[in-house]
Amino acid sequence: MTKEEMYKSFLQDPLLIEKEYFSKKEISQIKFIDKSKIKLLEILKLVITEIDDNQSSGSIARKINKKLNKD
Amino acid sequence: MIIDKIEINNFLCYAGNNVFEFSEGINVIIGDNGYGKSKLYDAFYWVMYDQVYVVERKEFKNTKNVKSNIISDKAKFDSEVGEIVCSVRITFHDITRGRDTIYVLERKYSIEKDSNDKFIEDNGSSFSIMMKELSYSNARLITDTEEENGIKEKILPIQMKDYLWFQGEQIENIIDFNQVDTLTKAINVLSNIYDYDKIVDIAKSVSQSASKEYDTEVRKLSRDKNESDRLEKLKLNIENEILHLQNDELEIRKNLSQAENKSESLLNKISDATKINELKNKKDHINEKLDLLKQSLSEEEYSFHKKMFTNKWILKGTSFLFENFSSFYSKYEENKLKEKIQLQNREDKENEVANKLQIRLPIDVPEPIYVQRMLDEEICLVCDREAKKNSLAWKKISELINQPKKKTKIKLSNIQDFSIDLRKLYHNGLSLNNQIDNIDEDIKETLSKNHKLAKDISNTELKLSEIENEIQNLLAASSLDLDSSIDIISTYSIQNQNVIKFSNDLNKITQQLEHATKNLNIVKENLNSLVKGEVPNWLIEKRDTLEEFELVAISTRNRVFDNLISELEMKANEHYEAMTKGNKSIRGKIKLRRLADGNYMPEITDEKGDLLLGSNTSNLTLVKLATIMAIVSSKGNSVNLYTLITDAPTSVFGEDYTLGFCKEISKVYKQSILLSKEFYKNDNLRKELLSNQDIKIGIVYKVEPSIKESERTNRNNLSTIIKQLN
Repeated sequence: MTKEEMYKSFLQDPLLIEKEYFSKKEISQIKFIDKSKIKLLEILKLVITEIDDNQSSGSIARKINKKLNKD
Repeated sequence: MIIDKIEINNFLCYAGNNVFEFSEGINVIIGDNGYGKSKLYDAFYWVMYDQVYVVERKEFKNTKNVKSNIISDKAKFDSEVGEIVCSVRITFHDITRGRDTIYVLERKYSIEKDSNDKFIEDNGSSFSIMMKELSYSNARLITDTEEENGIKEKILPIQMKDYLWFQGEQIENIIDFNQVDTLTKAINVLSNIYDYDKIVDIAKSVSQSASKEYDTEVRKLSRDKNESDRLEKLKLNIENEILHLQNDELEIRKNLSQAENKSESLLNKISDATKINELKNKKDHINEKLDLLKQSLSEEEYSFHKKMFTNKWILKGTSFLFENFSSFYSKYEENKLKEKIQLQNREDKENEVANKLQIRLPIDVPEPIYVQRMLDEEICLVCDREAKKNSLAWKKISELINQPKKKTKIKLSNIQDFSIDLRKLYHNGLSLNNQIDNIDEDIKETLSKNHKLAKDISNTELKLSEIENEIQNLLAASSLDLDSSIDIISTYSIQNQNVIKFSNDLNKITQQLEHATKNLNIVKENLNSLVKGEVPNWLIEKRDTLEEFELVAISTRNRVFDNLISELEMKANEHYEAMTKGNKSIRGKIKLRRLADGNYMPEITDEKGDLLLGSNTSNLTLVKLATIMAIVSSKGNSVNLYTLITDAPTSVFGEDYTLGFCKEISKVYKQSILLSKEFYKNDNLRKELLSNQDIKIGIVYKVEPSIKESERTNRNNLSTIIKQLN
């Protein structure tokens, strides 16, 4: 499974549509490489990339925190 | 990657050099039991995993455990002093993604034979891989262990091994209907669901830590530290309670799954078990009835003999005696009457004479002494006339003496009278005669009753035998025995009770969880209300984002898993339908049923989705093989990348299923190697295998021992004869 496929599997979650981050139709247009203003999507991409790179859970958690902490 | 050939030298029953070449399609090695099929499977397995299957132990053992036992007895016997080597070499050909590479995997084991015919054994085997890219002329020996492992992984990924190389008897364990996580394990192995699981773990962890970070900030900004501390403690307690309840919930779900699964697995047998039990009860009841009937018959037979006397059957046929007696008695009475009449007549006559005499002279006048004097003097003293002797006058005088006296009545009692006794006898005889007349009817009735009893016994025994047959047939078809059928009924009942109990427990704990969560939210709100000033936006955003991340991660993981299951179910059904095509006895579809704990279990259902009962071993094995095929075909391009090697998977199948299986694997897998005995004795099935257009046939071999088992005393001359059939 590619990173793109895995990303799409998360995008199809009803909660994201419920939160109105995007509509169902827009899912196909969203690309993994696209930068998003939605922080959750950025987190998902970060996790998928790190998982693909065989990074440890601890390391991934640290990177998530770093991304969401106050700049 | 396909297997070009396997070269076997002095390995187990394969003495000397033996070669099997293979092509794409289904390659079949045909041989009866004990002819070397499984040893060929061992040869493949030995090269890859340095293990052989030890039948006695029913497990795979390393070379160091079996040592010289893996070397052919013939090789050991024939060899002179010196080294004896056994080796197996498999040539793999990788033509995927434009490659054209040959890998030759070889494993060797050697022993030393000394002058005393003793063997000095090496401890382990040696393994090597030779790689040759056909675009280059040179081959190279792989010396790096990591590269060696990489090639082996490419040939047969370890997680795919169970689904690609297996023996018939292992099918049971690969897809085990008694293990609730049997499919979850397969999904985990064949998909990247592990990545999703890892993401869920990370999401839970970061979400929890963000929540804690937020709580710390809230505490810092509290206008009532004491109240905040109290609420924080309360919050912690509720969170612990929730954690505790969640663990309990998980445990209950597992128990519920197991109970449901056990109950479901028994559902297939419960119908047979109930029927067997009902038949058994019926049999017991009939046995009791039979005992009573036999007892009645025995009593009747005993009473039959007694009736010779009690019912006077002994007199049967003696009516003539009574008739004779009646006749005799009648004559006797008649004679007696005649005699009586005669006597009466005589008496009447005598009386008449006496009466006449009495008219002339009274009796004894003159007195007899004078009469005698007159007779003696021959003179009548009355008239004084002469009365010469024997003259008329003398005779008349004489009559006076001899004149009959008026006698008293002659009594019959003076004669022996048997009338009373004879009459008694007659009356007794008369009564007996009535009974004698009824003896035939009585015997007939008794015999009829006995005959009816005997017939009832015979019918009951027949019924008993029918029930016994029915029980035996059911036992044979269901693979149950009488005791286990009773166990099944009680276990089924217990498991159903457990399902009800665990369902109730689950409801209860769900309510408790809802209640605890509600309390937690109230405490959180109270904590927030104590905040003076503002919690930083970035922290609120972080907490909310990671909460959403956790929810999305969990639901996506479950959705992906469910999709994999749906795909697996669809593919399993495709294979199942293809394999059972043409067999009308097969019904139903494979359904992968979700259990309460999230695991899945394969089962056969009807069109309405209800569990189909009465599936036999062949059906269940087909379901498992279809599921294994679905697992492999779900894993990307696996069916083209790897060779299926299976030993005796069709041993429980009939002809239809065997051919259906061959057709399907030749369609699904680019290459397969099937070791089978089904085609050995069945010429028609073998012809069908070799000629059926729907089977993409590879190379077919027949293997046979050089000396039949019945004709050999040891294995010192045993080798295997390999004959290519196409």
